[in-house]
Amino acid sequence: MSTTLSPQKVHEPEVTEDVRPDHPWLVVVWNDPINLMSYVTWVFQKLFGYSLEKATRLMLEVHHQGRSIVSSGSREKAELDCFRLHAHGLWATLTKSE
Amino acid sequence: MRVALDRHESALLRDVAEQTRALFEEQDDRDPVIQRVFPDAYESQEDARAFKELTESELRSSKVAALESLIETLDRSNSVKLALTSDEVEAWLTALTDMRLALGTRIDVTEEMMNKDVDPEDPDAGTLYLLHWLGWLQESMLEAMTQTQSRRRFM
Repeated sequence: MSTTLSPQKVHEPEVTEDVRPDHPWLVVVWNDPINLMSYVTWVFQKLFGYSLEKATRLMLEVHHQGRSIVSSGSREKAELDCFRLHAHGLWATLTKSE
Repeated sequence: MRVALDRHESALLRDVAEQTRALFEEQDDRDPVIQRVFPDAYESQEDARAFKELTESELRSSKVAALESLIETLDRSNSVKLALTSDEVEAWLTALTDMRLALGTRIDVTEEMMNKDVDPEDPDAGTLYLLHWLGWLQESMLEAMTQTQSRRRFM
């Protein structure tokens, strides 16, 4: 055993397991010509607790690219998010992440 | 929040809300308005149908309730100046959205149509004016709400 006080190289166990959170379902919001940009931003803040900056970025993605992934999670959570978006008049769909 | 409408505006708003409510209660699945307001959540028809069976009646109830809240607040006061609670403001925002979706889908509105001035000769001019007016009302309410929030933050 070494007695030196110099920093030792620690052998970390090799991680083979994928520890990324399991987020298999994505909630997609699609562009529509009717809903106001300010309203869509407000809905993202209200439903998901996003900051104004994040909500605005997602809204602009929907507006310019035609769609944006606004939330993800278990199928149950994604379905609830999708339902709440429909309740607020946004055009939302669900898709399984690859 | 205080909303000031004149009597004609109030009557018009009530009329559009009643028509939208009737449309949602009828729920003709072949109607493009119903397809837009109650969209398929999944690409797979089977999954979409299962999701609808699970959620549709609750979704319809929440939309009808928002429209009824708007109608009720209009009926509550003889005054044209309405005082709305924050729950009522949220119901109004949802109801205004559904009313605009119904009107806009009915005339198959595009972004280009929404971005240019309304041509009075256009057979859809009446609907387009109404869409813009309801949008202006919604935008004003959202602005008033944001201002209240930032005022609170600095107090």
